[in-house]
Amino acid sequence: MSLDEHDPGLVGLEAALAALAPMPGRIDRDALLFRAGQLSLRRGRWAWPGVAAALGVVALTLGVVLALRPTPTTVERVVYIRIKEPSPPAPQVREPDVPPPEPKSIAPVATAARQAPMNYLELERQVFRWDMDGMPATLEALSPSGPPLTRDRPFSAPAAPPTFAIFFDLRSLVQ
Amino acid sequence: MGPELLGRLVDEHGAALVLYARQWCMGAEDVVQDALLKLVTQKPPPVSILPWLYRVVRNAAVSAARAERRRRRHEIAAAARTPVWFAAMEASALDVAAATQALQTLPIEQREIIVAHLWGGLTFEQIAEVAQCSSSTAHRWYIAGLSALRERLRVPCP
Repeated sequence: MSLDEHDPGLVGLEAALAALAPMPGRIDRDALLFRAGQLSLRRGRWAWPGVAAALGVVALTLGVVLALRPTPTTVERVVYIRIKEPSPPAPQVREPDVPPPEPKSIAPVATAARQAPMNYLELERQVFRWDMDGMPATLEALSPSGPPLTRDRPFSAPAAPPTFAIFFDLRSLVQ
Repeated sequence: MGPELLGRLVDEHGAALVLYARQWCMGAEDVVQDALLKLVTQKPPPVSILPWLYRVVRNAAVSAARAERRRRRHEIAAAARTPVWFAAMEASALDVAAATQALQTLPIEQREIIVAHLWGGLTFEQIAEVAQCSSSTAHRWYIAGLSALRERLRVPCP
């Protein structure tokens, strides 16, 4: 679309108008470039405030949950524990040939002694519990060298079976 | 967009953009400056920068004109100090004040197209895109505006 096609007379006016220079205005070039630089740095300005806001919401939510949490109630329960009744003691058989019965406390010690060697701590515990009166048969049984040599038995003979073992053998027979 | 391109846009097209914005509003410099800053923040930058700038300036100037109309008192005071649109040039065949006054009396549709074409360097296709009309309509208004200017400036026919 050419202007000459419509009105060739307008070409001169068009050229005269185009020769006029627009007023430059009051655009501050330096200020504009400065603001453009500022804008280029402000693109990610919502990143950290967004993170802070999200963490604030999380903290607020946790606080509300903590405040509205029901108080823990103490539940009391009665627990019945069945304890096996100890077996009644075996009737003691008094016979003249049979040595006097040993205290009851020897039973577990003697049994343990027959089954496995007694260590020092267990022996000490038994002594503290039953005193030395309850221990002779046990100690005799535990002695590795057998009964001490006396005038009636000057020589070392084969060790007799421990007294408590006989006692328990008898007791088991009675039962 | 780098500062070199922005500075070149201000130097080469700033005055024409201000003149274009003055067709609607008084604060033309602010409108152009905002448009240039908006151009800086565009990601990615527009393909055709100049038509994009004219379109943004036009929209902002129209909005600014609406705001000016709402503030009638300020509008009256601003009308009293209408700036001269063109720089005084001794070699020019036209009187600057007369040309400014003649342009101001034209309808906005014709004025807009004359300014965009003569001083902005936009083609009629680009003007049609900016002004949201067809290119033939833009050309028709351009011819009509020039004819009206010729009458008002009393330029003799060759």
